[in-house]
Amino acid sequence: MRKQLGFLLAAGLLAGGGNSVPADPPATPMIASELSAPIQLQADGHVIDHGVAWGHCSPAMLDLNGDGIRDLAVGDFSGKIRYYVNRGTDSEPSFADADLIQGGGKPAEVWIYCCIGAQPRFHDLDGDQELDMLVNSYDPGHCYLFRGIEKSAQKASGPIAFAEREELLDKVGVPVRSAPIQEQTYQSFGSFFDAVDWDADGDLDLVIGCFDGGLKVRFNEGNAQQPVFASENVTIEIAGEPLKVAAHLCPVVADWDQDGMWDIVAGSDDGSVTWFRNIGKTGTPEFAAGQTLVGKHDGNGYNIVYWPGDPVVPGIRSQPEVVDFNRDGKLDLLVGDFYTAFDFRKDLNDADRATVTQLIEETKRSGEAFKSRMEKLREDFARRYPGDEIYSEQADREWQIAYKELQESPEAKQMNQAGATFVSKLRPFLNSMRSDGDASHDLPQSHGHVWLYLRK
Amino acid sequence: MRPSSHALFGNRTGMLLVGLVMLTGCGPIGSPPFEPSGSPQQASDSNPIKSLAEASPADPPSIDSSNRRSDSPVAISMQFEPDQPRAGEPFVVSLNLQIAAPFEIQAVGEPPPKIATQLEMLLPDGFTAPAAWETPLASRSFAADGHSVYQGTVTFRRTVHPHESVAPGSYMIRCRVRFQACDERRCLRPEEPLLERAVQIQPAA
Repeated sequence: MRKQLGFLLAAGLLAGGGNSVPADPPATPMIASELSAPIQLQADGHVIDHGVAWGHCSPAMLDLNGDGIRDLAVGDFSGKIRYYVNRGTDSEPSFADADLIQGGGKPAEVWIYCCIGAQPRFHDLDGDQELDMLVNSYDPGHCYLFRGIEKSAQKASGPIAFAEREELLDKVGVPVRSAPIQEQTYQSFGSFFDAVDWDADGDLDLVIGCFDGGLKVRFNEGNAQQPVFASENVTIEIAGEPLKVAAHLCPVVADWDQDGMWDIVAGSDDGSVTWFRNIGKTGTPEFAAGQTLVGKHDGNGYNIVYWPGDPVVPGIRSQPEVVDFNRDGKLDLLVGDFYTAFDFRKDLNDADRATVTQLIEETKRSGEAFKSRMEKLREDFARRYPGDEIYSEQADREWQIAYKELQESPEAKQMNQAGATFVSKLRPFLNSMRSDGDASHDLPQSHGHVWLYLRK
Repeated sequence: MRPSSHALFGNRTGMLLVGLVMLTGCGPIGSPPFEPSGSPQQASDSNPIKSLAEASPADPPSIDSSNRRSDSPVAISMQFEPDQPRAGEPFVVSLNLQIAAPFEIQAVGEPPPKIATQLEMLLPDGFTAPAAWETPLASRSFAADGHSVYQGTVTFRRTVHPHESVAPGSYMIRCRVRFQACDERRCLRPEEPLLERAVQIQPAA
């Protein structure tokens, strides 16, 4: 608990508290010059949207049904993985929504209830010539293996099926996770996994993307047929400092610059995608400082105002895939995302829009006083309790008192009152809402898309 | 779907006080239609708790809630008002939740994927609770989406009616509370503690 408080204060994560009114329409994120503007992938003629599952899409592209043409698998917040069959060609895919990928006769599933999507990665982990499916989890943050089934055992027209879920354990029987020895049950929550032969010894090691934005590797001390994972992780560094993104590092191993050395392409909580070029040697990878392929989302990703017809831009919680999408010999980028946005009525006139805009501005202003007090409180604690002192009992006690006072302050009441007014006034302008509740977050709809950035 | 190899409360049970100690010396008198300390029945409940078979990795613990578990940010206590009600006279069961900052728990009725707070009351034979829980006023989360939450100290109340034929004695009131604590950046594992406390029923007036 105290560590959590210290973490929040030190990182300044509470500074934006209470800001739940709509953001301005986000600007298109910066993208590397080598990439074309992003477009949303479609299935059955419609934009892929996993909003019903609270988004957090995580795509993978590979031939799942054995017809020689690559299909699409998309994990999301439900913890399940949806299969989109490719009815087009390998160079001009045309996807159709097919079914959920199965594991052990039921939908393959991992436990997710916060902040990330299920990320399916496909490798032959046990050397049986069948692709296995590795999937991450939020809780407990362990790595799950769905072994590939022999093609002959698959039903010809049935769903894509894998064996029952297994939890990957290390050589001493502890689940493979970002914190092998945990002081708190949630210490490994929100991890991601991919596999690569890191040390070039002929078997697959595990790459672990961490909730705090770091990257670790878990070496395979076995072989390509019988993996035996070490009991410790190795933290990956760049020039003596941990390799990091903002948070929720979602890794994909790919030779992005096609120089013959695999690299790390990493998604992030803030929506960015970063390329960490491997400048080491085979078996001893080293990484250059990250280069931004996709900039962070402009805003916090919630309650976005898109007027009907406005261009939608990629959201937060980027989960990437690297693939030569159009078979032109150049690797492209697929990125899954998440955001919430208001679904405005299509018949709003200019006066309606002006009313909505004014309402938004007023509500924003009403929250500024609270936000300012919260920021001052955070700064005060950071100043009075530097370093590890923030973990002290005294700091904890004082924080709880100050926090309670802040909740009961006129600024908080003003903000809450304005929020209730905002809901009642905005509702008539909306075409649909997430729920019938009377809180501001009941209004916007959630979304999760798969964005394609073609390499120029 | 849940990871079967992970025991949610495996390292916590030693910290928990089982409410049965509160029954000591509280045996029933006579042979009334409704016997004390019998098998609980589930109260008519407008906010039934959902099965956690898929969502919770282990059986929930039973706790006397005056203690906070060391790795949970939420401490729960149960009180009765009046403390020793008479048979045939209603009394109020209060669940007091102390939520340590900077955590908050999702409000009752929050739509998925939020894991809403849910309450279930398990009553012995002869006790009923026809009205729903009175829930505290929710506030707005400090998280970016500003969803509805409870912060700080909040109290849930529900009126229980012991039938006038209930014999004087000790009866166990059980409440299951399902909640999930989150801070601005992450959510902890949902918890589902079962609270137990004996109520001393006095003879009808």
